[in-house]
Amino acid sequence: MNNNNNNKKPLLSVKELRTYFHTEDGIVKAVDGVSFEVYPGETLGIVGESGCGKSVTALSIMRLLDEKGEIAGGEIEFDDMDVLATPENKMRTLRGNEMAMIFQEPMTALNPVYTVGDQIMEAILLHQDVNEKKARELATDMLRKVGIPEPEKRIDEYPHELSGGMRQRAMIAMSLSCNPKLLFADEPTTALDVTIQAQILELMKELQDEYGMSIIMITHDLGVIAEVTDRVVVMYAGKVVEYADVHTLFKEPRHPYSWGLMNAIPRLDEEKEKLYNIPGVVPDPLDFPEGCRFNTRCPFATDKCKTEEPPLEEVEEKHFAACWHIDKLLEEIKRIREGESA
Amino acid sequence: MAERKRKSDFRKMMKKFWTNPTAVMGAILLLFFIGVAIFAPQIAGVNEFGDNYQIPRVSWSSSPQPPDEEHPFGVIGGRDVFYGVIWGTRTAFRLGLIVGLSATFIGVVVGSIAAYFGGIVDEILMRITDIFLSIPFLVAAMVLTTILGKGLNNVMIALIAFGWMSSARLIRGNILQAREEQYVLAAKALGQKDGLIIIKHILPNTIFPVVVQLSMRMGNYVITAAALSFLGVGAEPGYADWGTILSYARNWMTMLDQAWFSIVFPGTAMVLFVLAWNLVGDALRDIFDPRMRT
Repeated sequence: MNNNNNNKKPLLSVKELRTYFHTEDGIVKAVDGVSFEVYPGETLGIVGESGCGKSVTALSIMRLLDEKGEIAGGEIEFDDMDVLATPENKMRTLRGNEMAMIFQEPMTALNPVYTVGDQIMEAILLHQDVNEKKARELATDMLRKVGIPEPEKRIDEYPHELSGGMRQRAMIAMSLSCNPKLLFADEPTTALDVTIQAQILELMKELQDEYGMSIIMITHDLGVIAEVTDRVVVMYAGKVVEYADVHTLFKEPRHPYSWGLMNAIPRLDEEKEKLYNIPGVVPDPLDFPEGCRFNTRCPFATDKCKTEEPPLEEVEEKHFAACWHIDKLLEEIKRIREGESA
Repeated sequence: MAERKRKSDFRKMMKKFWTNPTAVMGAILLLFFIGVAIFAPQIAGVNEFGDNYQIPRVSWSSSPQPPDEEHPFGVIGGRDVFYGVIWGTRTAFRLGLIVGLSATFIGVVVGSIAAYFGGIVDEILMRITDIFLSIPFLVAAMVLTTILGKGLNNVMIALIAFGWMSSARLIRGNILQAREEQYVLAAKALGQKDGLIIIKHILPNTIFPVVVQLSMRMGNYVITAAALSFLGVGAEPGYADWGTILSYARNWMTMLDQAWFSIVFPGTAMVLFVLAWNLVGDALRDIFDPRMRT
């Protein structure tokens, strides 16, 4: 929806972010040189398999890594501010206020011993200069806005008294209660059933239109990506392999991994014997392959891929991909299309 | 509205408590003991010659006298068993509460510090805990009371010194587990301070098992103290304490038919006291668990 980002200044810009975890078995390079921008009011999707570093990217930007995690390099600029140089107490005033996060499992993300109202009010009281009564009013309004029926009654209920969808709505109310500029949504619909998923995504779009915040949608679900995002970062093994706007990515993927992901979506308008799947498994993060990290699973891999790492290059305008053999992929796509039309 | 809701929650919890037969039995027993402790002077009278916690001497004969009208629980070692059992209730509460609360408090502090700071601090505190756990409890308590000397206060010190470890381990484990919960991360993502996260989000989710453990062990402390008294390293002779009365029976072990009352009455009191705390603890576990609230 935002195709004229040329003249806008990004709200968030991440450059060459590296996040390493020091474990007993060695250093896990969970995020290894990731760059992207998020513009005001847009939704950026980060897609990839489990363990590819998408959640860690979000936690790094909010500086919420645990003691084992370390940001080993890179730059994060949020709203003209150098996030990595910001002292912790200043960071705390940003979290929940300027940048907020919603989580995958709404049951465990809400504290079981407090009512949903208590938890939304906690966020409001932390960042807004209001008394408890006013905070309660704001919390009730927020619950109404996220479509919870009878908010005056629901505000005093405990998380376990709400259904999964209602809990996720409460979680969204909590994270949006201070009107953040940037919202991280870490697989917000994965734990919900499909009809509720659609409702939650719809709600997030509505709230985005109303509040104008940017969203980083972290997911492994390409359906969600297609539904809500404007631009997409495809991550594989801690690296960005492709970065493009959503239409381009779905129509003209330029990295064998993204191409594989697209092929793995079941389609109703095609008859196929078997659904395509990318061969092999995600490499061990302690021992990533040399060269291109996808070379162990790539159908086009050559010796060059096993020794030299492909840079993320602009293959077309505003379309980046990191692959040595884009030509081979294009040939393959052409061959398949010709085969289909014949 | 919030007030009303909380009140109704409380009422719901109480209702749950009172509809649970074991809880009711435990509560009634406990109330009975509390009543006895409060009205001890009315029930058994006072010691006119000194400290009320000293069982008055009613006879200078060393042979036990079976229960009669004047001494309903009999007389042993020249002491009125009835007076000892009634006033011993106060001793039992004092000992259980002081030892239980102090040991739990120390345990919670040690366990929270270990879990919160982690790393080397955790390692040091937990190894100290292990050392304390590796010493057989009764032996350690005996050695300590021998060093400190006889008397109930020293028994309490010994019980506290060797009774805090399980709470420390329990709270540490619970905190380590709760720290990984997503609501803790969510609270951090809202910009909450670390200290408040511990107090507001971690402790309420971890403290209930400790409270339950406390009430379950309250009775055990009394039994252990009685064991120390029985072995002669506990309360001083003549002290109004169930264990002390039991220890009088030690000299009559081969002639229990003559001294049965000095075992049966304080023994029954002890069993019921422990039972009361255990039943209440059991019920508290069911009620406090937020996941079981409906």
